[in-house]
Amino acid sequence: MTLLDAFVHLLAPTQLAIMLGGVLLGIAVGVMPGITAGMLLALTLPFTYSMNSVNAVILLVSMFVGGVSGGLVTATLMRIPGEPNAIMTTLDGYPLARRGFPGRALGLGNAASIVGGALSWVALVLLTGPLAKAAIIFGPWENFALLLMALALITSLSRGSFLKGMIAALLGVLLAMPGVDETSGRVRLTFEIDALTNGFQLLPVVVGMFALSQIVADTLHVDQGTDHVRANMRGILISLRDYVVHGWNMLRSALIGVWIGVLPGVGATVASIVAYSTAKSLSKTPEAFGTGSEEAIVAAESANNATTGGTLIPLLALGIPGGLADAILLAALMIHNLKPGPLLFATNPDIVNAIMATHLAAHIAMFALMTVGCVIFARLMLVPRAFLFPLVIVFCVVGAYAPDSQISDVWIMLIFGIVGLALEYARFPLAPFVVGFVLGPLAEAKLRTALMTSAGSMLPLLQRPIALGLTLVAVTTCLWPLLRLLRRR
Amino acid sequence: MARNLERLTDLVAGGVVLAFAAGMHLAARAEPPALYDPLGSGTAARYVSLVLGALALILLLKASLGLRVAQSQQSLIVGLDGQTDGDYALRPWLAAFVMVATAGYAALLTAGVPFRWSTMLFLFVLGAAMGDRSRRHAAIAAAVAVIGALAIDTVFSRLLLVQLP
Repeated sequence: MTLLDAFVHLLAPTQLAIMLGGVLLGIAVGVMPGITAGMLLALTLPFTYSMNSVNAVILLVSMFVGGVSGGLVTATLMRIPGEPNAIMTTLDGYPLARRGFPGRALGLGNAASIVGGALSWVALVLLTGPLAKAAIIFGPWENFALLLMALALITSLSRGSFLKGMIAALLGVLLAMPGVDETSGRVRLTFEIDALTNGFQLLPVVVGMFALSQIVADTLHVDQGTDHVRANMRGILISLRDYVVHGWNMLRSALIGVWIGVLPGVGATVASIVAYSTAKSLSKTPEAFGTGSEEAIVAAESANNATTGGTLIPLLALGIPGGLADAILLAALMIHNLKPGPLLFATNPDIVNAIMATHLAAHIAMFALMTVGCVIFARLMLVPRAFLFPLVIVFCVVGAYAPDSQISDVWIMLIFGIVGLALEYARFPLAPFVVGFVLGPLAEAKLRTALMTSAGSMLPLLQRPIALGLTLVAVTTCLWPLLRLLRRR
Repeated sequence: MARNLERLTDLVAGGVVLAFAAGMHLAARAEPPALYDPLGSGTAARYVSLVLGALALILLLKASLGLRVAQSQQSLIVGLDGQTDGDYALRPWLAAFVMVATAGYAALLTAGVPFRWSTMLFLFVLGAAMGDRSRRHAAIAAAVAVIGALAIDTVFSRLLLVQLP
């Protein structure tokens, strides 16, 4: 299936319904404060078991795109970022809406979102193939070094503490080890607990850490009022002149979004902050930022949607997830016996093309749905949380139980809910944990395969130029904080 | 005050991670040697737990000596920082109750209470607890519990053919 075929395939009634449903659900959770796109993806994953792999990726990618975009509504009308990445939109979207232009604020954000998303799609299509082609020569040593580098990068690029990032990543790696060792077939590190024979499965872990713990955190704020600006359609469709006026800002912010999206562990929130700051520093009216600036809305929204394409590039080409949503997409592909990375292009081009086609089509659907339905979506902000949150927890329980029909997975979900809350409270970054949990077993398997080919010698890691280069990047990344400290002294 | 709390949190976190790394290291050492692959099933866990333990020690040392420990500024669980953006009070006891109620729900399911009934009870208890404790709210919570439990049960078991607890 070529990319064009994938677009045609998306027009079939089932696939179109899945895509539209995914975008709608994504926007809906993006609009509802407290329910995040990551949570939706984690909760949906178990239900993709019964789907074929193409339909599963269509659904998940559509939700991802919808979720990133939906935060705009709550940010603009309620001054609450429905998604963390909409935080910069609140600064100017809400003031502009308060001044009597809610439609204009939503329209600008929506237009910037589709431009950012479309430009990131161009990058996705142009860069992923060549990168995968270059990576196809990788053997187990290079793959091991690549995974090592990805783990090091995601730890160092997560904002804040490198030490805590490293600890979180290694905790993830270590917690992925109990259960059946795939290389030897032995059951290991289970402490004779029967429930651990299958290890900690990704789904209960992710659902617990990101969905259950988020609901618990949201419960703290259950009494938060819903003071909001009433949405209207006036100005929701911006003119061609607006696209010309804001064109350079949209393009620049999209490029920032794509670049930051490619970097592992940084994410859409940082992209929107960087794009916002850049737009402010280059603006002729920087004093307007924070008071309802159109430039600010455009920059933040273009950048956060552009990360959606950027994050998919290393995922598809190298099999490296850049963040939570990608880690879940990676898990979805693995559930369907697909291994993202350079070989995916050769073995399952239909999946690659389905992801690429869905990315663009979902952005177009998102633009249309947000344009037509933003007034309706805005009503979702008013769903009483007291009734919504318990229902979401029931979905968490079903989501954790369904894949293996093991009640122990519900308890594992609960335990990881507490672990997630504890790590977040102690200010450990969670992205390195998840990526460590996903990549750790892969890295171990690659290393053991590599060692079998070299009769136990680690020398090939230093003798093979690509493996050496990637290892050097990983080591330098890990030692960088130490080197910086020494230089300062 | 906040600085002291942060330090105490780091000390506890460092201690817990160190204990975990030590436990995993001991378990990994007990793994038998490999038969045919050079590493075997315990080696990676041994080295990873060693590095993790060393990092936990650094965290403990820094926190106990009062040195600054940089904190993550990236949040994937939003709203746990205790900041309120409006005139409402945080409800930490309710948040704790959510965990307890969820554990109770899991216990009911483990004990074999049918999904439909345990879900109904769970939705009602939590829905009522999250509201303003008025009769009206309790009545709505009961209605949501009955309709929600029946709908979820039907949709998952009959339409999506998902096996429920």
